[in-house]
Amino acid sequence: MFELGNAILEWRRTFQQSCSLSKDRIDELESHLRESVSELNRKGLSEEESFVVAIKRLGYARTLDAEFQKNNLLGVNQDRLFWMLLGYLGVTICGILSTAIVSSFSTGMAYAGAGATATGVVVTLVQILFWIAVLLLISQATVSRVFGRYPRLSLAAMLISMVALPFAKPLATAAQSRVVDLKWLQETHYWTGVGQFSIQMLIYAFCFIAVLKLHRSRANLAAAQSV
Amino acid sequence: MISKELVAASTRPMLLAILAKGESYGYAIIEQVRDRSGGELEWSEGMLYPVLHRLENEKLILSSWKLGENGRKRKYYRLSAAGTKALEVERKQWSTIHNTLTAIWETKACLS
Repeated sequence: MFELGNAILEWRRTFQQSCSLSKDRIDELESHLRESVSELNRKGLSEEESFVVAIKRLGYARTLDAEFQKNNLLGVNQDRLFWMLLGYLGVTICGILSTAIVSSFSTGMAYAGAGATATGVVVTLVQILFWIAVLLLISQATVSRVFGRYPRLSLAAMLISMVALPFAKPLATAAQSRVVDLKWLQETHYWTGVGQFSIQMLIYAFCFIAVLKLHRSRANLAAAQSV
Repeated sequence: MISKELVAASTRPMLLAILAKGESYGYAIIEQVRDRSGGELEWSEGMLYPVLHRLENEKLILSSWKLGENGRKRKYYRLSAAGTKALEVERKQWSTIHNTLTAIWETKACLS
């Protein structure tokens, strides 16, 4: 059984992947869609037929998004720059965070009397978990949704973490040198170094694949524009 | 069938002119354009809304959500003071083009 409200919700869902249209604009398109449906309905089409015709006229997220971007090339470039910078900031902050995690974790383990090799392995594992969480967050686009909903709060959080986090490492190192003896530290550093290097390589690979995918979607957009 | 480029170029003055007559919303604007052009001009939503939003960003038009007569929420647009000025500029430019073309076409008709 066809239900107009559900069909419209389904249509709205196609916009969730492409973030360039704000909620207000999608609301406006929905209002337009409802207007067309009731007009066609009045002309004798069934509600389902009206919806199909109206949606065909209005278009789905991908085509509409391309149309909207075509009219705003400067905005698109600014948008790209914005995301590039945001991405850079995000990765930098995550890097600092991960260093802080390494320092505090190994200090904690040394304090608890764990062996150097075991500490290196465990700290690397913790780091891997941390980066998996970061990648998951990015892939679910939570970052953009949170940012879009609370732009000021997100900016403030970002600024605070940029200023505050760099202090975390020297503080942790200072604490470490008091608690741990030098030989233990050197051995652990070897293992955490290996872990960090491999994680860095994985991140490079991830970035490379992401760039390739972005390039492909931009080509898609160009194709949609030339139609 | 009017060329894509010409339709795109005339969107801005037409929108300003329509909104100068009074506030309106997307769906009604498309209908108005269809009626006024005797069905020659069929604007698509994908073209109209981006232009509306651009005019809004330029502060030439203002928007507000209101309830329509059927009780449905609609986003109404109206001309701002800057929009009225912009319309005047557009009117001058389009008149120049129109007059020039008319003059040329009339001369040609005389020669033949």
